[in-house]
Amino acid sequence: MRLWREASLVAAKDLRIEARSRIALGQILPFGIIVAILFAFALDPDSGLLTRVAPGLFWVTVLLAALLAVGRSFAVEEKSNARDGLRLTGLDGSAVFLGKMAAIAAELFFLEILLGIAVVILYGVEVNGVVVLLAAAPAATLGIASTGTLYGVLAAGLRSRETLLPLLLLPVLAPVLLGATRAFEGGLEGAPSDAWPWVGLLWIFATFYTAFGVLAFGTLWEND
Amino acid sequence: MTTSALFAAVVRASQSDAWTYVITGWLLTGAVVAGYWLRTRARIRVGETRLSAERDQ
Amino acid sequence: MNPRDQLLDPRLRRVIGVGAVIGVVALCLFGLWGAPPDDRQGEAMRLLYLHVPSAWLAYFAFLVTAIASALFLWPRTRSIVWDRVAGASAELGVIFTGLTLVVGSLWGRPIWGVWWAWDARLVTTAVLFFLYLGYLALRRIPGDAISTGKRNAIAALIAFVDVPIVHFSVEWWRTLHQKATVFNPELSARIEGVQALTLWIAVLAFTLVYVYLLDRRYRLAVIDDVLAEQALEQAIKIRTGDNPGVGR
Repeated sequence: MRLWREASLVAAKDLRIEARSRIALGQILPFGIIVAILFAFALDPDSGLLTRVAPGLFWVTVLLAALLAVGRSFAVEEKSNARDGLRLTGLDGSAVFLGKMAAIAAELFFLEILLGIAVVILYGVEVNGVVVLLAAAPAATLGIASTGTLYGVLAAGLRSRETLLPLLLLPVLAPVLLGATRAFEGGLEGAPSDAWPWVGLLWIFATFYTAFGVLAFGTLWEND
Repeated sequence: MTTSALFAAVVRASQSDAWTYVITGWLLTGAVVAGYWLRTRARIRVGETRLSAERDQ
Repeated sequence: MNPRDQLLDPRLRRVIGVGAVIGVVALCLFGLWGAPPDDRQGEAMRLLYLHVPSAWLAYFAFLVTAIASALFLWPRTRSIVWDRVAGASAELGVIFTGLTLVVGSLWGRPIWGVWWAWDARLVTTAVLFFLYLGYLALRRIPGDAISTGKRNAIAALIAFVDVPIVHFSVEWWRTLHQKATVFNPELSARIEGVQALTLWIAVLAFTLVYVYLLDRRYRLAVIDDVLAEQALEQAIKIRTGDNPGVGR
C-alpha cells in the first residue's frame, strides 16, 4: 500500500538522521539516566521507597525524554527549509504523520529498553511479569509518539516552541503516565490481573490519537 | 486599642466558623469575574478609540 | 470588513447584561442570606452556590470551544467567527475552572479538613485547567488567520477528546486503590427547597454572565484583529513609499 510505503520512507529518513547525529543515544539517553540518578538522591535509596515507586519514576523520566525527542524530531526540519522540501515531495499528510510517529516511537522504545535496564540495576527492581511489561510499553510509547507528533507539528516553527511543547503535551499524557505506571506496578509485582485493564486503556489511547493524527495531520501539514 | 480589638475580632472570626471561607470565596469569585469584565471593557474602549481615530485621519 | 463584528445583536446583549446583573444580585441575596445554612455542612454550603455553577460553566465553555473548533475545521462552515468564539470561550473556561478549583478548595478545608484531595473529579479538573492553559498559550502566537485557525482548532479537539480519557483513568485509579474516604455520603447535602432554588439562580446568573462576557471577549478579538491588520497595511505603505505622510 502506498500509505505504508510513504510512511516507511519518512520514518527511515528520520531514523537515518538520528543514526548519524546520535542525539538520542548521546544526549537524550544520558539525560534520562541522570534524571533516574537524581531521583535516587531525592528519595533515600536505603528506605526501599525507590523500588516501590520505580515504575512511576521510570515513566516520568520517559516523558521528559520524550519531550526532548519530539522537539528534536521537528527541529531537524527547520534547518535549510527541509520542511518545505518534505512538503514538496507530495507525500500524503497521513503518511508523514505515521512516518514521523514511527520514528519517534522507535527511538523512545530503544530509550525505554536501555533506561529500563538502568532502573533495574540502580533501583534494585525485581521483574516478575515480563509479558505485561512488553504489552504495556509499546502501547504507552505509541500514545506518547502520536500525541507528541501532533503537538510537535502544531508547535513547529514557533518561536516559543521549546517552552510551549511541554505545557501542551504533559497534561494530555496524564492518562498515559497513570496507565503505564499502574500496568508496570502490576507487572513487577507479578499480579498481572491488576495490570491488564490498564494495558487496554493504553492501547485505546494509542489507537485513538493515531487515528486522530492520520485524519488531522494533512490539514496541519499543508498550509502552515 | 481599636486596632488590637479589630485584630482580635478577625482572629476570632477566622477560628470560629465557616463564614471566613465563605466570604473569601465570594469575594474572590466576584473580584476575578468583575476584574475580567472591567479589563475586557477597558481594552475594547481603547481599541475602539484607536479605530475611530484612524478612520478620521 | 469582518464577517461578524458583533457576536450578539447589541440590544440582545444589553438585555443579557441586565439579566446577568439581576441574577448576580439575586444570587448574593439568596446565597449569602436567604438560603438557610445546611443541616450538615453549615454555612460552608454557601460556597457550593459558586462552586457548582463555576464547574458547570467550565465544562460548558470547553464544550463550546470544541464545537466551534469543529465548525472551523469543517470547510463548509469555516469562518473566523468560530475561531474567535473558540478562543473567547476557552479563556472563560480557564477562568471558571480556576475558580472551581479555588472555591472548591475553600469549601474542602472546613468540610473535609483538607485543602485538596486526590479525588477523580478534582484531579480531572486540575488537568483540564492545564490542558486549556496550553491551548491559550498556543493561541497567543500570531500567524495568518486560516493556518492559525486550523492549528488552534486541532489543538482544541486534541484537548477535548482527552477529557473523558483523563476522567475515566483517574476515577479508575482512585477507586481501585482506596475506598472513598472524603466523600462520606453523610456529608453530602440534600438539596431541596430554598437551597435548590438558590442553586438554580446561581446556575442561571453564571450562564448569563458567561454569555455576556463571551460577547465582550469576541468583540475585543475583532478589534484586535482589525488593529493588527491596519498596522500591517500602514507598515506596507511606509515600505513601498506610498504614504505621503512619512518623514513629516
